[in-house]
Amino acid sequence: MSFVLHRLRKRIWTGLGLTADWALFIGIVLIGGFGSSWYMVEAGSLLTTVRVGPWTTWTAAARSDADPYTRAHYARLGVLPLSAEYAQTYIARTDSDGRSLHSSCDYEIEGHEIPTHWWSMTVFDAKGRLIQNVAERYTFTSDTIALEPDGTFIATLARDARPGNWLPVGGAGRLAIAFNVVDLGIRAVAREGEIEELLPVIKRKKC
Amino acid sequence: MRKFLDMLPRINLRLVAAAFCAVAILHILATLVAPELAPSRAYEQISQEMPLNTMQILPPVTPSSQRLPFMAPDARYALCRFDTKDGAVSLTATLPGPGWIVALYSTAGDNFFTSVAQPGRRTDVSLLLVPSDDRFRGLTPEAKGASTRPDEPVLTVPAQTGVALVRAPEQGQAYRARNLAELKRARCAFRSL
Repeated sequence: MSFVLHRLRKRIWTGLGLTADWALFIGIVLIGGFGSSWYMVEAGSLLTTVRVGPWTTWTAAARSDADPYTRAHYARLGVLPLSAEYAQTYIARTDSDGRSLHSSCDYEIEGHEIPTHWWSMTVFDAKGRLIQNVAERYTFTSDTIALEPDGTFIATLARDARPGNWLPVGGAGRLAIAFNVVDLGIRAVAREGEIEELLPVIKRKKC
Repeated sequence: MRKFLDMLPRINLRLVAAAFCAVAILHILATLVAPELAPSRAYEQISQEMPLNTMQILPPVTPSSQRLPFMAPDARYALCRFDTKDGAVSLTATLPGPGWIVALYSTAGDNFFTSVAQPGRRTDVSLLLVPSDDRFRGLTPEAKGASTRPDEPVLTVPAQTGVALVRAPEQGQAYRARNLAELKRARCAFRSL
């Protein structure tokens, strides 16, 4: 009798062990497969994105030879970007010190004009929606921003009105800043990384 | 460390290898299927209720009229939802200055054609959109007996349907009326062959 019980117990333990192995196997496959895909599509990697300070851009955006990660990223985002051959969109969700952008803080964005490119800088909420404000001010472009005599500019992100280049952020919560750059095609030779050197710096002033 | 080394013989290496392969296969499948599973496609969002093969000027982008995420009010847009199923579509636009762009997108969001304004001069864009399968079968506009203008290059489009976008940059109050007038001159029309 005890021998039968012993065999039964052994069988149960073996079955449980096998089930645990398979559950572990399936768990690792699901988490690893979906998780790694989600990360590569959402955040990108060195193969698909360029990161400069807080700014991230997808290098093959909207190109017909774009890699599957870039395609999936823009399909999920639901946007129609311009081809990366002519334009780049840099998105910042943190300040230059790596802290998340939030509408409860004031920020100064310091940049420099880019003579060979047309550019715009727009503030959105975290989901890419424009932020309602009484001033109806959502963006600055290279044509509309007030530049300093030396070609630099300072834009302020704040809830309350500020002098100069002020972009209201209301009570949007987490923020995202989009910096669109369009190549004007006035150079004979384009140098790699020339835009990245001139991307604005985002400084948190107070919270 | 020793405990780990003792455990090694008990690890089923074939199962580990199978797990790696399965993770890789699932990763590839999930990435390739992701665009199809997107909750809303940009093409459908931006072209809903738009007539076929007709250029329409979108209202200025504001929080209430923003059709796509991260669509900035840094430009005014004229848009044409083209369909080359029944024939070619002719597209004309003038790009008067820096920042003006004509871009063609497939329904999947691929930007397969872009024309950017040249600095210092007006750029006229005039195209005849023809689906690629017609080209493949030799059914070019010329072969069908249709007259094509020398100043209107034939562009073989990789998708039967898509959107043509004319983008006028926001240059401030002084330029708004002029830019709107230029956008209104953009045309998109069906041309039977």
